[in-house]
Amino acid sequence: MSETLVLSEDDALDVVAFLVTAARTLLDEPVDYGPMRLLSAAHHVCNVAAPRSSTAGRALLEEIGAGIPDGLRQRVRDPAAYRAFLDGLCTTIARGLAVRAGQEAP
Amino acid sequence: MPARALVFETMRTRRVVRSWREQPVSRADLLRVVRAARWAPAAGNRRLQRYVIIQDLALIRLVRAVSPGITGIPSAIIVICLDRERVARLGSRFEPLLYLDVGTAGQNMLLAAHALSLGGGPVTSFSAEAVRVLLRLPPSLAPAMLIPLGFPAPEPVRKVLPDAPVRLSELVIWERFPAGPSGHQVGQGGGEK
Repeated sequence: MSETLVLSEDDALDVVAFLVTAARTLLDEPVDYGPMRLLSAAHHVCNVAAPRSSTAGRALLEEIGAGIPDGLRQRVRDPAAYRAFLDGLCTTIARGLAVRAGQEAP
Repeated sequence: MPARALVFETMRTRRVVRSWREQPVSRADLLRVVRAARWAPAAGNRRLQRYVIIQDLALIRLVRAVSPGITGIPSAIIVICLDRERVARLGSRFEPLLYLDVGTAGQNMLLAAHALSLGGGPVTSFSAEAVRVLLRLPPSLAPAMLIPLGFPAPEPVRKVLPDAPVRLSELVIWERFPAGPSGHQVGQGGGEK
């Protein structure tokens, strides 16, 4: 685990503003916008945090963030592929966190 | 290219742009874009919109922070506001139909921007209350749409793919739907894509 600080105060407020504002705008938007907004926020955090992270942390953040733009394009065209993409991303995160916690070998 | 063909080509090639180069847009070009809004059709030719043009980068970042629909950092944002006082003074009711005029104005602005080599898109995913605070809008003005603008970044456009390829023939019904208990049948048009 790492205590490295990778988000500035401004970065944190940016993310908070995005998430809270999205919570409001989503009341009037299509249901599938919800996951899209969450992924957008995750993508942003990955891009901001990765350069400031440890080697291992950066690798995981870059792996998570890299797939999000293309994955989002499947949202309307291929819902099954979109779901599979999200499952895959969750798997990537789980494995990455497990390795970081020493629960799994790299 | 003849002028008429240029109009169709501009419409055909316009795309929503969400990432931009770090290059300022001139005031002259922004005013050209807003001028195009004035040429859009409006109910009763009643000009019920006001336009707030933002170029200050710090203010752009603040507005972007409360606008989930803006992902990149544009060089300018034009905020289309409905003027409630003008709506009441001219006897119009403040109803959803007023937003049709916002749409036509916005489309003219985006076409004008494209003609000026700028790119942007219509954004309605923003907190109206937060934008009101940031821009110090008087109570009479209601922000209705944001138009982020700038010079498009040299990145491949990642289009949101529709659920299936769309053919014009599937969108068009000529004259009226056929009579009978089976109801409507779509796709009566020609084979044009």
